[in-house]
Amino acid sequence: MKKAQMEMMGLTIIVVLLAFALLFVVRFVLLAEPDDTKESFVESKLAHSFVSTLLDTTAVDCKKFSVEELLKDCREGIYTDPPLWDDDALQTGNANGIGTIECDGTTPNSCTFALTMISDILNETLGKKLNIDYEFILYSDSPTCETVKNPSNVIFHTGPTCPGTKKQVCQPVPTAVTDIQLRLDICNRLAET
Amino acid sequence: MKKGQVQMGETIVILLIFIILVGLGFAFYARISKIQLAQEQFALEEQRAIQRVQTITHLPELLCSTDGVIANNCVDLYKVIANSNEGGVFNVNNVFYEQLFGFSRITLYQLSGNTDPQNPTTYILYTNEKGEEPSVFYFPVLLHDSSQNVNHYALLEIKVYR
Repeated sequence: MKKAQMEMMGLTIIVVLLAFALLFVVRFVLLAEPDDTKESFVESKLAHSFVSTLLDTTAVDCKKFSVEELLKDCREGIYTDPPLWDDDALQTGNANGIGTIECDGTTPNSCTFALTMISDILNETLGKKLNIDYEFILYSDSPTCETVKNPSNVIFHTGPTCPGTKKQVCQPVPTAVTDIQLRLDICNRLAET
Repeated sequence: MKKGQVQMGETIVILLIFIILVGLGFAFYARISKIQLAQEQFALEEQRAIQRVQTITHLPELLCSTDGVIANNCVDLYKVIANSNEGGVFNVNNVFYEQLFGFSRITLYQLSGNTDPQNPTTYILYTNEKGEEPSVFYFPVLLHDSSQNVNHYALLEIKVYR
């Protein structure tokens, strides 16, 4: 091999080595995933606390029943296939006349009262204060909440449908008819972009 | 120019280029190290903030209990009222609580059972703000009113300053 060829070979080796070093730096330093200690801590604690706290909250204007008691009464008052209510249905009074608890003393309205409370609190906290996208679903008849992507028998739905879920919390509530499941999905914003 | 002088010149140029390359590499390494150090410092500060948050959310001075049994995710309304005024334990013993809370601000918003739903009742429990860009943590808690035996929905806001 001639001297010029040897030099060319040496140069090529140096260039290849430098390219590898650069790739290594880019992969492990510049593209390293940012630390998400706070995010994972907040998400795991936040989603669980939201649902459990919601159920124990007292409806002061409804004879001091808890939200859980109102939801039970609501489910036990639905005899046919569960309807699908949303925030509009609650405002138009479509959920009135079901159950036995009369918050206003005239018409049974445990469904309207409990679901409006849930919707308002979620909107006030997750929506306005924390500026987090969420989807809340209340449905019946499914023991494996986490594995169900699109549950059937939905009773109530609020919040936009999550394109990708970041954190999901399911809380079953036993009733005399069937269990109801409260599912809160904290949406993954990255999936939307 | 003689052949020996040309070779000497070549060697000097190669050495110069080598030194420049080593210098550039060192500068690059220093920059990357600085970035990594900043990331590690940030992670450490976040962990310290979480530690403070855990301390605050488990304070016996705020938690509600029945017959000595502490309830989960629950703070006592009357403890909150007592501690949120000037003569509250956090303000009176601020030297002690500064060690626990550091530079932070703890606020509790009552979100249900308000007379005016548009203006939630706000309790400022502790204020010692210093520094910039606080890490903000929110936790939903039950605000237990033992005189009425009702639970209000409340949001605990903890701002931890770095």
